[in-house]
This record gives sequence, C-alpha cells and structure tokens, in this order.
Amino acid sequence: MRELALSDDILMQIEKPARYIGLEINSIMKDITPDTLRFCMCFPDVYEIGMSHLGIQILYDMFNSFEDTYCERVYSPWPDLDKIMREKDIPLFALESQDPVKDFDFLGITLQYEMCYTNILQILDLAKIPIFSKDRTEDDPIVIGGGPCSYNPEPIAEFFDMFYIGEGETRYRELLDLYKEDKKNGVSRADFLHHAAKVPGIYVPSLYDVEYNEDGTIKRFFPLFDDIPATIRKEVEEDLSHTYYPTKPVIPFIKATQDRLTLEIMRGCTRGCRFCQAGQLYRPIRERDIEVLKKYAIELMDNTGHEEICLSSLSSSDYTGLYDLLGFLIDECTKRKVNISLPSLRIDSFSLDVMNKVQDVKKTSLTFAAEAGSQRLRNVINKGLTEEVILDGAKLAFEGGWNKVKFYFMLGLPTETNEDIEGIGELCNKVAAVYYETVPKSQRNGRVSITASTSFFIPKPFTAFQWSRMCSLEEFRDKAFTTRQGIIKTLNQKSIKYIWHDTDVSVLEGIFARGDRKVSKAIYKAYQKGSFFDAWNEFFIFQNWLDSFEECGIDYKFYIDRERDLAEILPWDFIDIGVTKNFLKKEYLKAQRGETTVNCKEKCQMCGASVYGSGKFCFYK
Amino acid sequence: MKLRIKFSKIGPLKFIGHLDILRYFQKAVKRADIDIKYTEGFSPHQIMSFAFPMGIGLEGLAEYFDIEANSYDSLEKMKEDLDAQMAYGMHIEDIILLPDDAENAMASVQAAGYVIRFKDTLPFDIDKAISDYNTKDEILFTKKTKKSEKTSDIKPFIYEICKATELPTGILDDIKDKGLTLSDDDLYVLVNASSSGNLNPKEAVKCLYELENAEYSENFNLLRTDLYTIEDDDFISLGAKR
Ligand code: SF4
Repeated sequence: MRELALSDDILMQIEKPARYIGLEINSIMKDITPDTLRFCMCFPDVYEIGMSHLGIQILYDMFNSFEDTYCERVYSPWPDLDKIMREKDIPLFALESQDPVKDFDFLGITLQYEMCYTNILQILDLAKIPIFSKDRTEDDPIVIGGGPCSYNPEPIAEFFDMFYIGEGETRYRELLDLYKEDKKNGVSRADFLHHAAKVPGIYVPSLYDVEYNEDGTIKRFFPLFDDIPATIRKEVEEDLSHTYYPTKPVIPFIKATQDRLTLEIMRGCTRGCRFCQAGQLYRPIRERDIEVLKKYAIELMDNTGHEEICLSSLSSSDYTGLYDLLGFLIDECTKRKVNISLPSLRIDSFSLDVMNKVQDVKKTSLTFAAEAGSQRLRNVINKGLTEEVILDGAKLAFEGGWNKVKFYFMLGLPTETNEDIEGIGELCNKVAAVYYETVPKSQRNGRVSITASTSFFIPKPFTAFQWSRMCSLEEFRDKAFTTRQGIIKTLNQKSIKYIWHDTDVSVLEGIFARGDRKVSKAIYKAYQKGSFFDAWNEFFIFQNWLDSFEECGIDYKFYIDRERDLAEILPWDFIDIGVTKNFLKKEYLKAQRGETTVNCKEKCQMCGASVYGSGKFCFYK
Repeated sequence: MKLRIKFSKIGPLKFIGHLDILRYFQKAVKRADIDIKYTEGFSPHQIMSFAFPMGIGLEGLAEYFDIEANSYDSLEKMKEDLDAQMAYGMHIEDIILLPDDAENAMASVQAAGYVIRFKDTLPFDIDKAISDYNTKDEILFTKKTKKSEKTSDIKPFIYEICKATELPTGILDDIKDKGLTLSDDDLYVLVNASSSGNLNPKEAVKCLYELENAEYSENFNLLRTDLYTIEDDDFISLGAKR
C-alpha cells in the first residue's frame, strides 16, 4: 500500500489535511517503473485554487494519456504545513504517489498570475531543487514554466530551465520524446536543454543573453548559439475539436474555489479591448464544435456527478452555436438537477431569458464590465459598450425582476481625467434612475442595489498599452477617493455601494508584468525575507518588497512610472504571439486619439494572428 | 421509499471531514445513477441524511446515511453500483430498505462503539484499569470546555468498557478484513451517542488514565465499529434488518 508522506500526527495538526493526501475520484494511479517518464504538474498556490484551474486538468489528462508518462500534481503547502516541513526536513511530495518531487523527470509550473512568483521559490526550496537553474545538476528535474505569465518570463527566467510558450496541447509529446532519446544516449542536462531550445515554442533562458543601455533599457537580446531561434513563436492548438479534453476531471474532496465543471467552448476573443492581455494572447479565435461540446458536457456530468457546470471562454456571447448549446444544456441539466452557471454574457433579451431559466432572479445580480465611466474613455480602451446599451440592458433586466446590478471599472487608464472618473458615479446614478422609472412602486422589492467595484489598471505585455505609464500608489488612492466623492454627489447615492481594493499589490504586479531579468534578484531577496503567498492579503508584506528592491539596487519605478518609447526593445519582444508589434503600435496611437477599432467579427484588422490557421474570423489570402 | 446505506471508511480518507463526505456522497449517488428523490424548489437537493458526523481522524466500520429513492432495480445492484464509485478505503457494506415510518438515522442513534488502538505501550495495566473501572459505582470526571468546567459522574454515559480482543468474533473479523490489527492493550468502549447525552470516546479513555493516575496523551487511533439504537435495554445496530 502507498504510504502518505505526512504522518498522522502532522495531518491532524494542520488545516485541511485533505489537501495533501491525493486519492480524489478520477485522480490517476499508475505503476511506476524505472522507464516511466515522471512529470509533476504544479500550480503554485493553495490546493483549492489550483484545483479550480482547467489548464492543469487538460495537461494532466493529456500527459496521462501517454502510456510512458505518469503525471502527478503538487500545490503550495499552506504556511502551517510549510513550517512543519522545514522543521522536520520533509521534502515536497506529489499527491498521487506521495514521492518526493525531486525524483521526477520534469517539474512543470503553471504561471497564472504574477503574485505567485515567490511561491515558485517555495516549491523549489521545499522540493530541495536549487532555486537557480544554473545550480541544478543531473539529479534535478527539468523545471519548466508555462501559462499566461510565461509571455513575459524574464523576471523569473533564472529560476526556470525552460518555458513552454503557448498552448500545451501541441509540443509536449515532442519534448518528452527528445528527453527520452537524450536520456537513453546519456546526453548531459546542458545538451538536452540545448536540443530542447530547438523545439518550437520552447524558450531556454540560459541560452540567451541581454545587454542593457545606460538608462536601464535593453540594448540587445540575443541567443548564445546560432542554431537556436532568436524569437520564440507561441504554440497554438489549431483544432480544438480534436484534441485533449479532460472529461474525467479530478474531483477534490474539499471544496475547490471554483466548485464546478468547466466546458471550454472557445479560445480567443473577438473584441479588441486595449487593456486586455488575454484578448491578444489567445488570438486567433477558435471555436469548439458544438456536437463535441454536447458530448463533453454529458461525459463530464456522468463522470463526476457534479452539481454545476460552467461555460468558459473570453466572450461566450460570440460563440456561434450559443443558442443551440444553451438549449441543449438547459434540457440535460434540468433532467440531471445540475445548475448552469453562465459566463458573463452580454445583457440582451436572449441572455436575460436564459438567465431567467437557470438562475434565481432574486438572488443573482447582473454584471456589466463597463471598465470606464465615460464614453470618451471607453473609446480609448476600445471597450465597445455604450451607455445606451447599458441603460437598455438594465431596463430589460429590471423588467425581468432583477434588482441587483454590479459594475466593474478600472482606475488609472491611459488619458483618464477626473471627469472620466466622475462618470462612474453618473453612470451608476442613471442606472438607478432607470430602475425607479421602470419598476412601479408597488412592484419594487426594496431599493435597487448597485455595486461599483474598481480595480487599478496594470499595463500588460502584448497589449496596446504595453508602452503606457502606470499610476503611482498616491495617484491610485486619489482616484479611488474621487470615485467615491463622485458617487456621493449623485441623487441615488444611497442605492450605490462602492468597493475598491488596496493598491500595494497592484504596484508589485505592475513591476512583474513588465519586468526584465534584473527583477529576479529582488524576488529571491523578498522570498529570503519570508515573502510568499503574496496573492493573499494576510501574507503580503509590501515593506519586504520595498526593502528588497532597494537592497538589490533596483529602482522599481523604472518598470511602472514611465511611458516607454515606441522604439524601445521590450523584455518580451523576443516572443512572437502572432499579433504584431506594429498592430499594437497602431492601436496605441489610435487610443491616444480616442479612435475605436471594430471587432474581428465585423472586420478583420489583420493583426497578424492569421499566421495560425483556423482563426474563425481571420482574413486568409 | 426510504433506504439506509451502510458504509465503511478506513485509511487516509479519515482526513476528509463530515461536510466533505456529504458532498462526496452526493456526487457518488449521481454517478451511480441512483434514482434519488430531490427537494422541491429552485435549487433542488438530494434527500439524504447522515446518522452521525465523523470528525477528522476517525475511521469507521459501519456508518450510515438514509436516502429517499423514487425507484430501484435491486438493492444488491444499487450496492454494487454505488460501491464502484467509492474512493480508496471506502466501501458500501449494505443497503437496507426501511419501513416507511422508520425514524431517520440521526434520531435513531443512541450509542456508538469505538475501538481505541494505542500507538505506544500504555503507562498502566489495561486489565487492572478495566477492573478498577468496573468496581467503582461512580466516577467523577471533569469536562473542560472553552467556556466552563463541569464535574459529574461519567459512568452512566459509558455502557461498556472491555478489551478490544474480547469483542464478538463477527466484529473482530470485520476489523481484520479491513487490514487493521489489534494488540492486547487495545480497548473497546460503548458510549452514549444520543443528542442529549453524547460522550466523546476520548473522554472515556481519559477517565481510565485518571483512574490509574497516569498522564493522558492522545496517542491512539479511533475506529468507530457501529452505531446503535436502544430498545428495551438492547443495543440494536442501525444496520440491523427488520
Ligand atoms: S487576424 Fe483579424 S480576425 Fe484574426 S484575430 Fe487578428 S484581427 Fe481578428
């Protein structure tokens, strides 16, 4: 029988021991032989968060479908267990076999958000794998990163042996085969990395070097060998209907943060919001065939017994077969007593009708991602949502019985003025007024409730705003204050609730998002000072970071408080996502002029993503 | 129709708490395609009620929950289907059809049996401790909670204390079947588990330590062997067929 890595005594002492024992329904048990390729997949955050993530499930399913490979999982041990593992010198272990992570061939770490960077170091440290790639030996696993943050891998480049840039479905088999072959031939770690650097989509940071200008900007980024590519092109799965899909996902015993099934209906987004990184990274738009989706939905429900299923994509309203698919799901799910949770659909009579069928109107709220308070600023960010559409949608919803509305806004967008910010209160006020005009007194179920929630804008690589200056802490706080003042001034202010979150963490996210290789020193330093779980308010210590930057001689403002020159070499320029820098430049300039760009569905803008086949709306010559 | 499902939980899954076991069974029942009854209303849920929650760390040979079903082919098939959905260390032991007017599992529970498997040698002689216990008419015991301390006679809440190896062979076989081994020091206690007088088995163990003037340590594994209802002074298992 497999033994647990942790003793009963330890498991009884810690919070939620179920995080560490594995054995979940649909988790995979395989026999391990000396030839088994062992891949440990890590989500560097706590179990409940990691288990909510579809990407990991896709890769877990894919790797385990390979006969010669056994893929297991590991998540960040919560600080209570972290402490015990260090005290008792217990090495980090994978959930399935409970074997030390260090014994694996590969450790794959998914990079979903910047604030998990210190947790990567925790994982390596607990696993007893040297933190820096250069210090690793033949006995250590190959540490490979992937996911959205790998599109600017430079701040964490020194901790990884390689990055997989793009969608995981396409090149892992090739990489594993290369590994097997090299291992059989006794090829050294260094040579394997060199070979791997020739596999499309694979970036091996140690084989590239950077030279800087005196002002700290990049002078030159170049490969150290002639036989590896100077730019790395992202990998794209061109046929979503015939690839891996986890229809038997692992079901955690404890409640995951997203406690439901996920049906990914498409990748990419037709809209070209200029602040949105995902919208560019996942171009071109590819849909999954509706019949395939119906089949997956049934299998998912049969194989899990889950109570809820959720459609996932960046803009589900644009999915061609949405009407059909939802009709099918409503029938099947009603029969099986499964709830459907809807992605943020555009509010119109169709979506309201669907929501009416699947949700309790009284309990749910409608969501508008307006992002900016004024039309002018919505044009700047190319958010194709007008006041008219919002007010019409709200009216329809109020007629349908809803009385809760949520708005999401961003503060600190390029060109923003106080008037734009005050527009937030004004828009909320108008929506409240629509309620009182639409719903007669006798039918009102109390006051209308409007929530305005703001986050701080963080410029991201591969967006039109990748050159933009990010606001400082003080500016952000002033803007939040102005927002609140603006709301208080309005007639219906009593119906409007304002929520905003603190700013420190946004600053750090801003630094990491557009950081270069120099930043890695500070990440290591902050980790040594005890920083980890930075995504968790209760563990985030901003002062640690300020001290670390200072001690490393890094002026962190260089990464945020600066409009970049269009000619500057950006740290992520060596990655090619299909969408060209030229296209982004045009978008940046159009934004300054307040000009909008129509979405892919109306007219292809020749962004460059058509270098990949299968873009649903792309213009192919 | 009302059905009672008897299951066991041995091994690492003892670290899954009660609420999670509940969610686990809700899903398992769906996967096994059992035609369970749902409540009415906007978000219907399965009609399912557990006899007695299992705290984290507790293993069980005979745990129960009741469901209401609309239909079924055969209980044997249902048992097989549901058992096929179990995670490692859990088994469906039996499914029993209850009379329509049967009391629900939770209300029926009045006593629970526990085997206490010590990890180290005991600091006292177990035979002596049991006989000391049996000769006393009254044992004053102080229960400490976060808020208060209460001293009272613990004996009325303990129905039986004996060595685990002296249990009837049926239970001993069950224990052995699950791969668990008993040593000569291991203990069995049958305690009050009713809503009014529920006694934590650990307190019964603590009481023996106090009786023998030994320093208490919680160095044992707890295994619940069965749950009982009391009728005319007889302890009747919740899994008894009637
Ligand atoms: S090539 Fe055209 S349609 Fe395709 S993603 Fe780019 S802009 Fe959209």
